Amino acid sequence: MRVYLIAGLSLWLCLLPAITYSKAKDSDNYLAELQQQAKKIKLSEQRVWHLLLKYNRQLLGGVISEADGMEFFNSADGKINPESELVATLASFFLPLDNLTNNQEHPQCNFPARFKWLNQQLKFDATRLKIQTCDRLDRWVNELDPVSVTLVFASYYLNNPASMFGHTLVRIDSRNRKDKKLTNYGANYAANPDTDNPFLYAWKGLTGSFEGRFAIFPYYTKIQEYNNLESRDLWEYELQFTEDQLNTMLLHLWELGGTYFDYYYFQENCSYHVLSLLEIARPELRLRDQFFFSVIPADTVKLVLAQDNLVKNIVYRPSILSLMNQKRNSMTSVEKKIFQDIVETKISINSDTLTLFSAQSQALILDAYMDYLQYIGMRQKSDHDAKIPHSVLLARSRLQLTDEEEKSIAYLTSPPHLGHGADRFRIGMGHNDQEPFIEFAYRPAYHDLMARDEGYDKDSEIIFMDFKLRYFFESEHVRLDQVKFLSITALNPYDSLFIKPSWRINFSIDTLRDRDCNYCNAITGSYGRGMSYRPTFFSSLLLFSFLDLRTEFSNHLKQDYRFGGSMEAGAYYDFNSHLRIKFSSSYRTFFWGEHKHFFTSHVVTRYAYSQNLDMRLEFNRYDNNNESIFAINYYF
Amino acid sequence: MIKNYLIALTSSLLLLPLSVFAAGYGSAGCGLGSMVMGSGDGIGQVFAATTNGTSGSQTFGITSGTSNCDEGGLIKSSKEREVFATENFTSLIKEMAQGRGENLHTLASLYQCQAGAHQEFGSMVQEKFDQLIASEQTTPIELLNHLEAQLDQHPSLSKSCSYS
Repeated sequence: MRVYLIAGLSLWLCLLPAITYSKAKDSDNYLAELQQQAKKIKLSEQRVWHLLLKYNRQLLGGVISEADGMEFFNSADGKINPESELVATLASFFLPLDNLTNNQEHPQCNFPARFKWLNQQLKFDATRLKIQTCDRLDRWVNELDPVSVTLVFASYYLNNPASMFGHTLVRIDSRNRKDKKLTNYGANYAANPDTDNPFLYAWKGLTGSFEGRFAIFPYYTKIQEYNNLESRDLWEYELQFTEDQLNTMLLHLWELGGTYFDYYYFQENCSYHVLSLLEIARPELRLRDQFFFSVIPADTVKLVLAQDNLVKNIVYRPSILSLMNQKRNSMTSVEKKIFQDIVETKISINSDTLTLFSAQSQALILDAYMDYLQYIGMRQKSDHDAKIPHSVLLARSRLQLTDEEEKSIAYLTSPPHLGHGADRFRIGMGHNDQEPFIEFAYRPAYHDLMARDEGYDKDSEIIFMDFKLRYFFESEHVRLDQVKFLSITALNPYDSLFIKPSWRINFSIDTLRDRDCNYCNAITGSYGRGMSYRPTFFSSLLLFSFLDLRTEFSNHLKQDYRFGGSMEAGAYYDFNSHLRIKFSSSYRTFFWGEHKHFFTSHVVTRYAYSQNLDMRLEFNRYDNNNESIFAINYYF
Repeated sequence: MIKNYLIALTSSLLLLPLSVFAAGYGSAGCGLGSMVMGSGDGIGQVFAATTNGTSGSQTFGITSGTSNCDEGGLIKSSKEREVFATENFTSLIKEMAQGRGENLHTLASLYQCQAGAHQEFGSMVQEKFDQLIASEQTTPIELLNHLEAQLDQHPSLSKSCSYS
């Protein structure tokens, strides 16, 4: 091969005055050489090539690229054929400039990551392949000039259950922006939803009918969006990469900018694509292989943290509401009272009631008040840019505290990487009034209120696709005990500033437990609203009550259905971080279809052994039927 | 009859909480691809940026408001302070009244104030707050103009910061 090269080179040198014809011919030869060499060393089978083109193994053999925009490929069958794509990519690098239409970029500039890698593998001879200059790309890369990259996790958004799993994006940390980190750029992958219809929305999200795209934004716009507008906490995980790895990641991102992917809510989502960015920089990381059913943002954070020497530093960026609540939590009861009166505009910020306090107290109260006004203001679509009245700002500006007299303030939320895994496997043993049974259950997501709540929102529950089977020893039956397709509970503990009802929704297949029908099933749906109360932010007691509408369909019911309501009240109590107990009791009444009314009661205790393992003891009573269960839950 | 009524009732029941899925923003649980912050004076539109094939080139492009952005979807350096102040206006003036904060320090850095001068910068804007933000109507651009006037007059900050 080298002989060829030398021969080719000397030939070219000797015939220097000779002409474009032989030059074109030589580039044809050189292309053929490169293509042959690539074939010989099986470049198209290498992991990096598959990462660059987003190839995934198919179940029935072969591969298919996740990219759905056809401009991403140079070969017509590039989506499924890595080898023909590689051959065509090499050919595209030889494209003469005059063949480009106005303003079109040369393939070398459009696919710089592929060019970089192929150049490393094949050592392009610059005398035989014209290396193009890429002005736009170079300016972009020089401006971004990354020294590190940060994985950013945005926690759930209260008002949007679809966001409950969180979100991840990456921040590119530039060399010249070290002292102004907010102005770094973030790279975000998200779907462009084209519907407002919630059913279509859910359906399209699950079946990959939305287009997902990468976009870059100044990081501060993401802070305004997540921290301030949606009031979501942000956790930043600064990652360790070499500058060359970062350069590869950036070039790859440039390639991705021009294409789109079908967005799958659970599989090919934001976190999946963020992981692939990390993999392209360090191909030995095999992050996406770890996920079986769904890629849940918080799980990707745990995975990244579990890698050796990947996370350098963790930074917490509390949301505007967290900031305000941190301040409220550190107030004395008198300060709290004044704060509440100011919010309710019972007293003015210039009244003596406030100004007689120490400057430090006044500042604390006004700071919390400004957070409150900003939070409220962000949520109102108004033309006024200033969300905080001038008079409040002026009053605060007059309090010039010399030292940092700020109290050290306790965080109200815990980082996502400390949370349990979202998948859960459960095995249990129990006994009902007739016979003993064992049960097996699996669900891919996400968190229930009895689980250890570190790393999660401690007042909400979201359960998706929870399948539970029971085997009964005496009747020797396997029965589908329950399938929770989707169950969401949002307890919004009473807060004098924002009065929000608690709510819950549940859609499942369940056993008709109030009757003896040989464990027959019913399809059930319920929706309820309620109230909940926690005495203080860190109190271990949480009280709740709900009024639900409930409907059940089953051919074991007299008219095949029953419809009614239920009233429930209960409490959660934490003895310590390991031990939690729940009591609840409800009255259910069905007044359409089959008539029936009965009581239920539940007592559940949980002992959390570790981050991913807990044990539960449950007692349930439905009408006159009792059961008790001991279960072990493993999260992963 | 009753059955139809029931079906309608139960389906509307299921619709209720689900409608929050579609509340305002929302993009299949993963935040937004494109998000417009601030309000309609043009700068806010900058970030209605998506990745598209502008001019036939497959790179990060901008769909609108290109006046503040270069062709790679990044902010023009001449516009950085303006865009920053506009997008973060509320956070920024809050921190100005407090005399400290990350947005404020970022602004100081955008004026190339040395790190040692950031505290001084914070004290100055807090002290001169009523002149920098004269009223409810002060715009981000006016704020920057007033700030530059103050920096010019300041004995030490005029030296440790530099801007054109």
